[in-house]
Amino acid sequence: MYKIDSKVRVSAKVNSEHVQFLCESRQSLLEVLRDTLQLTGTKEGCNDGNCGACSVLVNGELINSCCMFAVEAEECEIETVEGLALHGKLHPLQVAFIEENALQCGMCTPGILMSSKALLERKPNPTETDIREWLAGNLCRCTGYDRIVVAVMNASEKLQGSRRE
Amino acid sequence: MSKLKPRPPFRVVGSAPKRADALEKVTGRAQFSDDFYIPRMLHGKTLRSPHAHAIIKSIDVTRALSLPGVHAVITGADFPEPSVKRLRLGEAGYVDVQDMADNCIAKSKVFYDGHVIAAVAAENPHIAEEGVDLIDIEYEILTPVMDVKSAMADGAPVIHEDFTPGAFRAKTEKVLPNAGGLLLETGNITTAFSDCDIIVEREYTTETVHQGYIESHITTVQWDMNGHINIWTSSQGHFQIRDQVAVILNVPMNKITVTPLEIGGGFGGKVSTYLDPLAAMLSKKTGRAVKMAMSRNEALRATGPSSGTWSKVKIGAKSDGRIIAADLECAYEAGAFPGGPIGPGIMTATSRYKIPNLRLKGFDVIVNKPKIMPYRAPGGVQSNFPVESLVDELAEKLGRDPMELRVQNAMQSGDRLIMGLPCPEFDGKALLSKIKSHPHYKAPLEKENQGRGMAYAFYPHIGMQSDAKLTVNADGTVQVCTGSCDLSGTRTSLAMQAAEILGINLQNISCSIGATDAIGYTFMACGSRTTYSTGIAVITAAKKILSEMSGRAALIWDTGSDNIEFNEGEFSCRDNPKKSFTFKELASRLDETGGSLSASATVSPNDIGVQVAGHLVDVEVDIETGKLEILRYTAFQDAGKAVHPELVRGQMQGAAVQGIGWALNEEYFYNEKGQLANATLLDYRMPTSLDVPFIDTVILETPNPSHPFGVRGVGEVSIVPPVAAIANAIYNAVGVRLTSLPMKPGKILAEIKKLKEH
Amino acid sequence: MQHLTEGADTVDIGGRNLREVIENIDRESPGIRSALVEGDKLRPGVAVVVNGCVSHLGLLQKVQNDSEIQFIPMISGG
Repeated sequence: MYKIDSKVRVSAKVNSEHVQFLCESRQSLLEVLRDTLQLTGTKEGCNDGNCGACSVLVNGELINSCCMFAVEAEECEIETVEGLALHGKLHPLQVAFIEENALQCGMCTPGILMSSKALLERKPNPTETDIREWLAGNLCRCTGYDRIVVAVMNASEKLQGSRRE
Repeated sequence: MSKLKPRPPFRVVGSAPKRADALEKVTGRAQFSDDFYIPRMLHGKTLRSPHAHAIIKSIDVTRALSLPGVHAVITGADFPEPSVKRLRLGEAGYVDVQDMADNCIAKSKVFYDGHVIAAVAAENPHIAEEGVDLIDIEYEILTPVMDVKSAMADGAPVIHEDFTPGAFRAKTEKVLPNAGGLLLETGNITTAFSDCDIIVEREYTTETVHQGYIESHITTVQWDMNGHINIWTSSQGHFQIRDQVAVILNVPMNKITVTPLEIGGGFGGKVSTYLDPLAAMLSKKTGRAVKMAMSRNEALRATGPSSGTWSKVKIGAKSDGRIIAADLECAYEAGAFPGGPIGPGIMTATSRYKIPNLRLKGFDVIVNKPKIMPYRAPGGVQSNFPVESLVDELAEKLGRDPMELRVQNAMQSGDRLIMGLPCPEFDGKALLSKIKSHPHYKAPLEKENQGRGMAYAFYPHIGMQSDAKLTVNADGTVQVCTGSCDLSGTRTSLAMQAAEILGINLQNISCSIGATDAIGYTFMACGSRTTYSTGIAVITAAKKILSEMSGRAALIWDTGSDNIEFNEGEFSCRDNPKKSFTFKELASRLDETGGSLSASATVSPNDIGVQVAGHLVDVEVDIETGKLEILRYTAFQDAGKAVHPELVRGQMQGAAVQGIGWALNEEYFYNEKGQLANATLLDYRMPTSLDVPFIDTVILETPNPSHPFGVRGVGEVSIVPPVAAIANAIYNAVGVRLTSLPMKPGKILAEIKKLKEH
Repeated sequence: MQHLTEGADTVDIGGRNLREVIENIDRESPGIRSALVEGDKLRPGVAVVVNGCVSHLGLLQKVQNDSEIQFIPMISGG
């Protein structure tokens, strides 16, 4: 990483693609994803780590991208909601969210999808309590969480089913 | 009962197709306000008062203007006199334009912590924030008034010298500082109470709570060189935003176009403009587009929450269970400017019961908090909580089952509401019976510190004006365009209503939302009106399409239009049934029979509709810590006709969880200086997935005669019952009656201790 | 507003439209007009229901011989 005037050049991988960008050291990863890389799927809800709308995966870890500086992304592998669908095929979580009406306004949805993905990678067969505990860092004001929990359970079953095949 | 004609079974309405906008939302491609940008746009940030009540003595923007990267700074002095005093909204009320303009940016005085004083446009948001820090303001700090009782007390500091109390005040009432009033009376409560065998009476308080939408307020505005203002923003009503901006900036309404973007939650909090006039003025000064976004801190400090309240309620009954008198006095915070929800709050306090002697008194109290805005069934929670709690208490004292007492006194269609209004068509008793016969009602509770409670609520839904335009394409597909913003799937439920009338598949219909220059005037997406009122507009336009297409078929078959029948998607000749066209076939012939086909409809349904809900909740209270766990929750609501039952369920569940938050943990904390101390989503504690169980739902369908399919509005009422249902459940669990919100562990524990000491 | 009608909660009155109705009531119970009307429109915050339907015509609303009229505070939504 090197500096150009006050800006820093960062190299990283975002949704399996190599990217390079210039950013100021005060910019958050959230800001850079949205404004510089134009990946606007990740949302700002509070900008201080309390709502989870900006959730992304960084090297497989679930992170509030508003609480991470963009310069910290050097050499990291970042996954955002735009990377969930592969080659035009929706991720089972995305399919489940549509089928279960697990979204209303859709603002918290990208963050909850990334958070759920992280959960299912750790616990392929979560209980209702596992899901509620894990998603407690993602606020939703519209749905009351009911359909979201059902969608995550359905997606976990689908994923396990496809793993068995 | 129902005045609806019998109809064939629904083909599309009542099914649960995938939402048309869901794919864009799960892939992160839907364009919300902050996702929109214009090349070379600047970014605006606001300077907000840290004082709750102060006079602005001076503003010096010199230092801010000389910061490299800052392009313009504005203050209240940059704004003209509004062009009108009031924006009337029919039966939905009115907006005092000067108040609204002053709320957007202060003139000589600030009225709450977070009140905008100035705004800066700069190359990026960081520089704009730095510019804000370089503005120098001198204040004369005044004493803030932070709760309704202090505001109404003798000698309270008067916040606005020039406000007028409301229309329904009795002239003999003392004029209170800072308070407008409303008094509705019927019968004679003095003699009625002396006739009562049982009377229950308590005082209640509730705290200020926020709608808590996950998307904050964001707008992008470009003031063109030819004087046209383009606004791209999410709101609940882009026509109202246009009108508000027009009158605040004193600009003709046709010189403003508002293009709606996807909205990340509203709940009533996005019906009023905040940033648009500021961004417009910055755009005018800089010659560039300007985007402004409120931080979460700013949204909590400065955008309309719902009223905290104080109330005193007294209800009396005869020993046979007839509730014959109710006296309710409820002071609602209005926030920094008058116009809180006392109207609907007071009117819905007891409307679901037939009580012949009533005195309902409301106060709209100005306090140094942000201007109160609607929050899902405005005013409803605050008046329902005391009444439903006291009805339970009355039942206990009368030795009656609380459900049976409610059924005995339930208002039904054909009765009269307060003010003599004929009660609109609904069936409260059917809802209450449904609750009673549900397995949840009798399911055994396992532990001593568990309890079950219920509450019942009734809230009107409005009609108001909606515009819809349908176009039939040559390939038989149809476009529907309306003026209603889509908060949670109404584009789909509107397309379903069109599909039902036109007899075609839902996949062949797309539904969009027109900008203010593309569709006729449409009232906000609020008051649970979209599926109902805009649905009627869509249906009316669809019927016009069918009528026109019948005319085209008649032309082709060389017969009269009255010889054409339309049945299940096919046009046929009455006297020669072999002659028929499917919708698609006829659409392909439009070109040769007169050209393409569009139809529009403007409707303004003026029936008062009723939303009604009852919720049942089981709770467990930890008597060591006061912590409450919700074990089981069932929400019952009458949807009239559920166009898309899953979307209806979603409304019930979402509203119920908002009500749970209101009941248990949400409140605004102000410090002694009147500054909001918990302006983050950590400390303004909304429910998480871990705080609530599955919310079971039961949908009843008592058709609403003023909609062709029987649709009732459904969006709001389910926020109302949770608070009292939980309060009643706590009493049944551990024997304490909470009379102040939120019912947090410390309060529950304190009441348990008090009970033990007696 | 019963304090203005000496305690009556319903009044029978004549008039072709709401403007006339209000003027007629005001003649018998002074003060009603100023409570309901501002300038030449219904006071902001006042809605009027005729035969169970909210009127959008304010004082211009025509009424019939046995129309039922109620004046109510505004209903809104959120």
